[in-house]
Order: sequence, then C-alpha cells, then structure tokens
Amino acid sequence: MANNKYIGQRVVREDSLKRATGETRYVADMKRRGMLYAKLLRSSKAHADFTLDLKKALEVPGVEAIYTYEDIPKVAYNSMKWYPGIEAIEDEYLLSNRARYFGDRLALVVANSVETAELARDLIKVDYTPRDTILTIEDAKTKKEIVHGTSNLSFEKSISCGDFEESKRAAYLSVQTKGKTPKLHHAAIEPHVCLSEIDDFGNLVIWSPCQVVFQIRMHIADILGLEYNKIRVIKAAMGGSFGGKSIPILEPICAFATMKLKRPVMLSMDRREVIIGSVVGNNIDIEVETTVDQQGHILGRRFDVDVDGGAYDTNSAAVTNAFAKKIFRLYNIPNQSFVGRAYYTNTTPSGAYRAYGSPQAHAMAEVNIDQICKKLSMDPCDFRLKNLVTRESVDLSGGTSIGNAQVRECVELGRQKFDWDHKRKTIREKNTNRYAYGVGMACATHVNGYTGPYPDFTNVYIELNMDGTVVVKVAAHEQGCGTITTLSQIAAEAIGVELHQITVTEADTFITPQDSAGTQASRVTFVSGKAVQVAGEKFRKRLFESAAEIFDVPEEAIYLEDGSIRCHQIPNLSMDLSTFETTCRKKLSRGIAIFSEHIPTTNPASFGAFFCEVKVDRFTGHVEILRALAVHDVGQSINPQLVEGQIQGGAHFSLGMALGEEILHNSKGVVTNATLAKYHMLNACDMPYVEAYMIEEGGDEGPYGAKSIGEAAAIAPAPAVLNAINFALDTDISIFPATPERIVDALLIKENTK
Amino acid sequence: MTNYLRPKNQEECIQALIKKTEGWTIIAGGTDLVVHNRYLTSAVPGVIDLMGVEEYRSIRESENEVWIGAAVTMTELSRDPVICEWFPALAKAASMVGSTQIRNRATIGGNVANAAHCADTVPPLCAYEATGCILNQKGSTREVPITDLIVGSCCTILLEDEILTGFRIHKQPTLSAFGKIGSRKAVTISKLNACINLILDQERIQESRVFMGSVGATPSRCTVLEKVFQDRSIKELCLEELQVAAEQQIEELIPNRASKHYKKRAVKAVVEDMLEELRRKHGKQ
Repeated sequence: MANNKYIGQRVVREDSLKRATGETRYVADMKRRGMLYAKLLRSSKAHADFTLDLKKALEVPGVEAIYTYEDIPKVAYNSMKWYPGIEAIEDEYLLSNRARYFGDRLALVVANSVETAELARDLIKVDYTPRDTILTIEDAKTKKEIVHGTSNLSFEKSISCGDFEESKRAAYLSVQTKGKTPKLHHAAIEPHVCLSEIDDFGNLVIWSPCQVVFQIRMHIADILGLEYNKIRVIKAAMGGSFGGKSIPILEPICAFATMKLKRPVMLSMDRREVIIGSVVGNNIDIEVETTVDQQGHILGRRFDVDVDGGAYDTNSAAVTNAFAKKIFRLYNIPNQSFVGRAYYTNTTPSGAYRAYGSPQAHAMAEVNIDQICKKLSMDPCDFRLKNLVTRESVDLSGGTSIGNAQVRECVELGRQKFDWDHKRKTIREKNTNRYAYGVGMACATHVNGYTGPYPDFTNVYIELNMDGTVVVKVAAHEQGCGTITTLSQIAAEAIGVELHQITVTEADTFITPQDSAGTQASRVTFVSGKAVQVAGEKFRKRLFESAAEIFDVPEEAIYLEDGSIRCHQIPNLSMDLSTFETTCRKKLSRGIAIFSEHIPTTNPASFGAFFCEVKVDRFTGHVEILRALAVHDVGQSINPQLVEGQIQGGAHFSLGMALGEEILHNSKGVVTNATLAKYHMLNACDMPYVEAYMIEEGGDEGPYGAKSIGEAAAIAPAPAVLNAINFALDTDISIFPATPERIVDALLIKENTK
Repeated sequence: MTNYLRPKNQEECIQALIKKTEGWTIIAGGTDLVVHNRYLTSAVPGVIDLMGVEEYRSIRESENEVWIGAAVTMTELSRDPVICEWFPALAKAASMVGSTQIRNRATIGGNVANAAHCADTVPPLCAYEATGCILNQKGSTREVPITDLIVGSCCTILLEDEILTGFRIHKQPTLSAFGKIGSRKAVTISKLNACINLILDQERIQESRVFMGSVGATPSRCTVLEKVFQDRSIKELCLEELQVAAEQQIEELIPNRASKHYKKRAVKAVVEDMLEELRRKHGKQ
C-alpha cells in the first residue's frame, strides 16, 4: 500500500495519553447539580416469588424514592432487540415481579448518595417464597418448573446441507466429541454505569458507555412512552465492553427514575453486580460428529447443541442462529446438519460476548478435528489444509460469499513461523515424569457485519469547519479497540487532508446520523469504515468541485497537499482550508458538506490460525503457555498496532476460556465466584506474549480491503490450547475451561483404565 | 460514621481496647476489611489500626529468638534478612501471598488473626513453633503457640478485648521449605500449602515438623510425612517415598472431601518442589 499516507500506519490512538494519565472522565466521574444516586436491589434467590417491605428503607434520611414492579410501566421488552424489526420474545420488565435468577432486579432505590442508596437497599425486607430452580440445561429439559411461559425450551433451529447420515455410511471414520463451554464474564475494567438527566430543552439525556445508542433510545422511548426525538443518548467514555455493554441494562430504569423525579440520576454496579446481574456469555453443551474418508477429507458433520439462555430470552435465538451460521464457513463440508435448542434457566441472562457464538462453535469443532487427526495419525495442519475453505468455496447454508479467504495462507505462514512440523515431532522429548509438553493449533472464522441475516448500513455526515478542520459525524462507539483512530485514518486518507485536521465523533443520537446496529458484530471497520471512506471520497469531490469553480480551472487540476488546496495550473496557489471555507462562502454562498449512505453488499469471512506450546504439570494440572502465535487474514490492516492489540487482547480473552474462566454457582443457584479473585482470568504472569502476523491480500468490499479482527481474534486460542494439552497428555479433554482439576481428572481416568 | 483509632504505642493500644465496643474490628493492613466492608449490611462501627505502633511494625533479633510484630507486611517479611536467614520458609510463604499490592499492605498478624484455612504464613509459623503474643485491655499479656491460637476456620482464641501484637520464634539452625498450590501461578488462594522444617544433627534428621494448610479448618500436622524424615539424612530422602506418604497424609486428613482426589495428586508436586528446595539449601550449607 505504498500510495497510502495513513492506511497501514501505526498511528497512536488519540485517547491513549488521557486514559493512561487518568484525565479521561468516565460516567462514574460525572457530577450534576442535584444529582441522585440509584442502586438496584437484586434477588438473593435463584427462583422465588417475593414480597417487599420498604418501610425501614424509606425511613432512611436521604432516600428519595424506592421503585418496585408496582411502579413501573408494564411494558415487556427484549433488551437484545436493536431495531423494531427483530422478532424476539419480550419477557423482561424494568423490575421483576418474580425473582428468576440470583441477581434479578427487584427494586430501585434512589437517594442522595451511593452509600445511602446501598444502606436503604439493604434495609428492604424481602420475603421469598422459593420455587424449584432450573440451574442446568438438564434441569430445563426434565423438571416440571417453568421459568417463563409454557416451556423452558425458548428456541429451536435446524439447518443443513447435503445428507449427513449418508456421509456416515460412506465414511472411513466417524468421530464424535461431546463437550461444554462455560458461562463467561466479560470483565471490562469499568463496571456498568449510566447517568440520566433532563436538559434545558426538556429532552431526556442519557450518558452511557455503550455500544448501541439507537438501541438504547428505542427501548427507553418504547418503555416510557416517549418520542424518539426527545431522547438523546450519548456514548460516553468507556472502559471496555466486549459485548457486555451491547444491550441496555441500566439505562431504561435509570431514565425511568429521572422522568419520575425530574432530577439527574446516576445508576452504577460494582464488580459483583456486573458478574451476577448484567449478562454473561452463553454456556453451551455441544455434540459434534464428523465423518471423514481415509485421506482425511471431511465428508460430513453434525452438530447437536443446547444453549443455556439464562433467565430471560435476550439473545438466545440470535446466538443459536449465529452458532449455526458460523460452522458452514471454515471448512468445505458437503453434508452438514445443525440442530440447536435454547433453554431458559434460573441463571444470569446471556448476552453478546465477543465473537457471538463463534468461541463456542469453533472451540468444539477444532477439538473434534484434532481427535480425528489422532485417529488418522495425520498432522493437524495437513488435515486442515485439505479441508479449509478457499476463495472459491461456497457457504452451503446459503450465507453470504466467503470472499477472498486466506485461511490456508494463515495456516501455512503460522506453521512456518512456529516451526510447527519440527516442534510437533520433537516436543514430547522434553517430557519428564512430572511435566508433559505439547503443541496445538486451531483455526477460526468470523463475520464482517450483519449483511445477510440482518439489515446493515451506516450514514455519515462530513462538514468543513470555518477553521479548516473537518468533522466526520458517524455513530461509532469507541470501546478501546481504537475505532475512532481507525476511522480518522480512513477519513484522512479518503479526503486527502492531514490526520490532525480530522475529528470523528462518537455516537450521539442528536448529532450522529443513523447507523443500523451499533458498534457490534465486527461491523465497524468493514461497514462504518467503508462508509467513511465513501463519504470521504464524496467530500473530497465536493471540495475539488468547489475549488475548480472558484479558481475557474478543471476539477482534475485541483489537489490537496499538506492540508491545503493547490492547483496544477496555478503554481503559486496554496490555500489553507480555513481560507478556502471563507472563500467558498464569499464566492459560492455555500459551505462544504456531504451526507452519505453506505449499504454493504457483502459480508465476507475473516480468518485466523493460532499456534501454541504448553507445559502441563501432571500432578497439579497447571498449564503454562510457553509460546503463542497468531496469524490473521485481515484483508488490510488500517493500523497494524491496533490490529496487533486486538490479536493479543483477543488471545487473552480466549486463553482465559481455555484455562480458567467460568462463572460457577452452587446447588441453589447462588454464584460462588462473583469476584475477580475467584473468577480466574489469566494474570499478567500467566499470559504469554502473542506473536501476531497478518495476511493482507485485500480483495473484499471493506475500506482499502480491510476486514474485521476484534472478534475473529478471540476464537482459535482456546481450542488450540486444549489441542496442545490433549497432545501433551494423550487425553480427550473437551470441557472448557481445562482447569487443573479437570486435567487431573482426565489423567486419573486415563491411568486407571490402563 | 466509623470510629477510627490509630494507637502509637502499647499504652494507646490499651486505651483503644477500652473504647472498643461490639462490632469494632482490629486491622493492620486492612486488606480483608476493605474487601469485606463492601458487602456488609452496615459499615463497621469502629476500627483500631495497629500500623502506627512501632513495636508491632518491627522485626527484632535477640540472642535466642526473633520478634516479628503483627503489623509487619508480607513484603517486609519476605525481604527481611533475619527472616530469610533463620526462617526462609516463612519468607517464602509471605512472598507468595496474593498480589504485589496485597503483599505491600497485608500483614502477618492479619493473616494469623483472620485464620483462614488457606493462610499461607500459618504452616511455617506452626513448623517453626512460633508463639503468638496477645495483649488485653488490662495491659496484661499472654503467649500461645500458633497451633493453639487457631481453633477453626476463621476462628481464634483471641477475646474481644485482646489484640495479637506479634510473634516470637526460637532461633535454631534448621532446614526448611515451603510450597503451595493454587488455581494459578500467582495471585492465588492456596488449595494446598505446606511447610517442612527439619532439625539436623550433623547429617541426620533429628526432628521434623511438617504442617499443611487448606486440608482442614486448622493447620494440620503431618505425622505420616514426619515419619519418613525421621533418622534419615537429606541424601537418603526418596521423592517417591515422600510422595506416597503425602498422598496417605491427605487421605488421612480429608477422607471425605470432594477435593481429596485433586489434592492427593497435587501434593506430589508440592512435595517435589519442597524436596528440591531442601536439597538445594542443604547443598549450600
């Protein structure tokens, strides 16, 4: 990309310094005159009817109001819906009339301080009448108790291509893997928080660190019966989300309190509340069976999947669908069937979790593939190279084109950089009585937006300011990925001005034009980025047309250099954009601005391959990741530094799922590890350095050929680690995470059956 | 509002104890209070902070013994030359508690008085035969072996009007080692920790004191393991034999716990690490 000035450059994120020095103001730092603080009373029972005695709590000085189910609008909603056209079960209310999980929202206390609100909250007497609890998928299937409606089965889906059973009859070998993925916490460093207030014009204003301003506006308007035009949702500075802040959790009830009290209200959670009472990544029970011929070609595959959706429907259907779609896009499999069911349980509801269905789907599929390799005595890279998709491949489920797939190239480059062939042959020579060594790898794919299953578009408005700066209004939500920097680089490149002249806004329903779905689904670089590129090019044309008119030269003669307008035909002309803007007003009686719509026509796949070396302590079951290497097909990296950051951060996410992350509850449904001391993410000393490589072959619709990375990076590391552990120990562990206890159990079983 | 007292000497401690009423808590580093206070129904009514008492903040060596103040932090303990020389297993245990930030605040007195079954400094204190020094509001003091001081999980013999001021340990040349297993490499709560302390007569092991934590409510003396050490030399110690004994020991200590199978296996690693440490140290001596 030699001709590009900003694309592919390691531009430092514009917000880095402020975040590092503590200057950034997060919502929890905000203050308003007369602001009240709210706290939610959460259920301490997993499933119970209840009555509340507010008497003592209301007597606490400083308490303004306590709201319960009696007070709220009886409008059911599904917080996962991002536009009215999504069909989903609407089963949640601002506050619940029955406790359906440990952490369910029972009441809202509003007071003059956080401490007062907490004190009053703790003085509310809750009289529970416990009901039978549905804590597992097995419970949901077998127990009489129903969480919602008439059945605990909330969704069912099957899709297929070809005939799996037929493939089984013809197969040389069929390998079945049954496993589980855990309930996962996003662990964004900033707990959920929001601030609502009424501005001087009577508009309801919501400050929220979120991924979805338009979605939040829709829910608040619909629940409270307000006009969309009267609600301003502003995306505030955010300390991470990973999907956890992609649906409104606090905003609607906070807005309700502000509308009732006509005062600013801040509602926040602490870590424990976020773990038990926001949303979690779905735990899924997965059975996968793959049929192959003697040479290692996949003939068919069958998935049978049970999704734990938690106590409210939220994304149960969507994540089941997403899981199903993703298994058709990594390998060429002529006969494949998927059957998936989602269930209600009395556990924390699920929500978007980085890579939405992919971490679970590929986790089990990739472990299954290594089990096949073991039986065929075939190298896992060789096996995959026989079966991975290419640019000629077709998604047989009827999904969008896979695009310029470079996943084989990912495997080949990773294999070479990792010295895979040599390592795989010799690694076990390092084994001792206590330590076993192994290498493993896995592949992954993910999407680039919603095109296909859902509508997708981004609108952009660009304007030249009087001082010569350019504002790009686009509803982007910076989550820490460097989205704003990435979009700024694209804008600067497309327009041809200097990076420092560009400001890209974050989402604000009063300022930024419509965007179909928010900052999610790995759609921002590919969809919004392209929208900014297209808009930037239109803006540049508008600029050049106007200059041509003013200077009476052909448009082709105009160019931009060092942020100033120049002309090939007028050698001495160099007009800075500030002067140009004024000149434009004087001569043409107009400013320079454009509005642009971008509707993507494709949704290609992003790919990755992950390689790792592990050292397993056979006595303690501890796993040390000695080396980690990732290769990703990103099309084109807009900012390699940010891409590497995503690859490494994504690995941290996925490696946590491989080794330690899992929300646990006891037999009564009480979450037993709702602290970061007991929810085991990888610590700095356990986290390996991740060598990151990129394949940049472009060829797809995204800006300058770029594809997504943020979610694609958080998929393959987990199965790669399990594959390495299984190779080291000659086991078949397929339950994530592979905790020390699970590893020791697997070894004990193996030793006892010898 | 929470009352906060920060005595500067023993006399002020006694005065503070006189003022102390129900629900008050005594802290040093305050690391447990900060965590627990968040989830208490109401704030603690009063706090006595021992970090201001010089004596409790100090480690002092005399001819026959070492005094470790209750308010000595884990970081200080792990780096103190006297502790490292005489009680290296205690220094090592302190160096493996929680995170760096926790170790900079958390104290040995807090670790013992909190009496969690997984407290890392407790097995070494037991193996070194430390005594805890206790002061009451009348100003009188008493000394109790750590093995008698801790009587249950999070349960000690400390009375409402008493504070733990520090520890005395007899100075004696020994060979010792500490090991632990948690859920991960660092910043981890012990699923199993252990200390071996051997008294050598020339090359012979004359006496051994072995304690494990997290395998019962109180620190557990490991007599099965101790028998293996008896009258052997370090050179004669056999890893496999020790591992088998350690497995038996776990079986004896927690015959009915679900965690038994894991701990029986993991203890083999702890024993291996500790034996390696003993051999290394013995080689240096």
